[in-house]
Order: sequence, then structure tokens, then C-alpha cells
Amino acid sequence: MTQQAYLLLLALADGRQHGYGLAGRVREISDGDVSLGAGTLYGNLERLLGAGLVADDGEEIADGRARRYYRLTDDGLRAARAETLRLAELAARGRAALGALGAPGPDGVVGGVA
Amino acid sequence: MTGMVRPGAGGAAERVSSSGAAASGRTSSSADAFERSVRRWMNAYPRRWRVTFGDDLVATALELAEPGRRRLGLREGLALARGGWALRRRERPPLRVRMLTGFGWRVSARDRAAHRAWIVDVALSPWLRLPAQLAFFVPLALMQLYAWWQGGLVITLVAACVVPVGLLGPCLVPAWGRRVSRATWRTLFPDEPVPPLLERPARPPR
Repeated sequence: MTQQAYLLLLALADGRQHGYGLAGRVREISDGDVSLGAGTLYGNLERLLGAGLVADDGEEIADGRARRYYRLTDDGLRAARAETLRLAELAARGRAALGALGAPGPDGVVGGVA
Repeated sequence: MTGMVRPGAGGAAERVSSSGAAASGRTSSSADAFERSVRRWMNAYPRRWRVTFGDDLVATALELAEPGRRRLGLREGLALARGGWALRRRERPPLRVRMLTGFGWRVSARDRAAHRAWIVDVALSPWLRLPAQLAFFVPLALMQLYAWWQGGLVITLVAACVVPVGLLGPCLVPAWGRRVSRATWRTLFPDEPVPPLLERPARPPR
């Protein structure tokens, strides 16, 4: 699963969203690192819809524009949890591999590299 | 790309809906120009997809863009187009099904169920039927040319005009395209009503 797809699944975890809401949530969750444009957003969304991880949740008119809502399916939730677990395990192994360097420093910054 | 027409010169027929901008009070010309730009790039997606998700994509793109932008921009546009092409590639059925549907011939119920999305696209757009038809006619035309060059069978004026006009006409004349599309739809989906997209539109007031 690509990072963008994973972030989209996470963005839908706390309820249905429309396209613009998704872009905002992704930015929030990634702490501003990932900001999806319309092209990448809908490309990823389309793949997730095709894979059955995200479902179309109907159209509503908001601010005079047709907004389509998306929601996470059960499979999508399962995939997001599996990916989170995988990343957590990867991070744990990474920390073990780094040994002392991987431990958070006294100021909360990871590693003691000057 | 089929959407690369001058704004207002024929794009209106292909555009699925553009009344959203006026309804939201966003009538400034830059927002309109931006929407047109998004819709041109969005032509990379199949029409069926645009009908369902297009308006949401346009609204999202408008909100994500900084105000005053008149174009989507090359990078975002290419990202959008890549998504559309990837979708078309994923849904593409085997050659046999493409050739049959390209000529508006029915395929088995099993093929129809397996490749429904693609077959709906083919029924909706003459441009998608063109490749299969070209794949059939181009070798014929080349054989004719070769024969002519060898001093044999001469390609007739009728064959040289009727075939290209018959192939390209439905693509270039919207009303003709819809007519052929309606017939194709009735053949490919005999049990389903023709979608309103293919009906004759009311003439817009000038």
C-alpha cells in the first residue's frame, strides 16, 4: 500500500468525508508533510474504490455544488489496521537496529547524533 | 486528447455539467477558466467516471487551488491525466471483446458482466469505438494502396471518402455520435434504458 493510499484510509477512519475534507485530513494526519492535489487525490481514491477499501457514500449538494462522500469499508478498516501494525513493527525493528542511537534523546529528539 | 477544443467551441456537448459554478455564486471568470481547465484534463477519465465523480473533483480542485488561478497547471494536470489513463488501462478487456464492442456487436453475458465498466464507456463514446474500427479498416486500406501501387485494384473514391467519414463523423459531429451511441447502447444493453446523457439535448438559449 502506498503512503498516500494509507493516509487516505486513515483520513476516512473517523467518518465519511468529501474530496476537499479528505485533502485537509490527509494534511493534518501527515503533519503537513503530504498535501494531495486533486489529481493525486482522485487517482488514489479511484484505486481504493476499485479495491473495495473505500465506498461511494452518495452525493449531496453543499454550497451549490454536488459533493460526493466517501466512507471506509470493513475491508478498508482492516487494511488500515494491518498497515498500521506493519509500520509499527517496522519502526520497532528499526529502533532495535539502531540500538542506542534509535532511542529518543533527552529533549525528545530521536537519536543522539550531533 | 478529445477535450482539447477551444472553450465553447464544442466542449459544451461533452461537458457533463457546468452549472455548479453559477449556482455557488462563484461567477468570476478566473474560476470558470479554472473549471474549464480541470475538465479538459479530466477527459483522461472515462465519461462514466466523470458523470459520477467529476463534479466532486472539480469542486475539490477549486477549493484546493489558490484564488485567482486560471489553470490547473501542468504538474497537477498530468497527475490527473495519469489517474485517468491508469483507470482506463486497468479496465481494458481482451482484444476480442474490444473488437466486438468497437463495432457495436454484442458480447456474451459473461463478458458483459466481467467488463461492464469498459463496455458502458464504449457505448457512451464514439472515440472509444474508433481504435477497434481503425484496427479493422487500416490493414484493408493498406492492402488497397499496395494493390493500387502494383497497378491492380484501384481504390474507389467512394471507399476513400465513405469509410473515413463514417469512422470520424460520429466522433466529430456530436448529434451523429449520440445517434450511433444510442444504437450501440440498445445493442450492447438490450434490457436497459438508454441513459439520458445520450438523449438529444435541448438547444441552449443564445
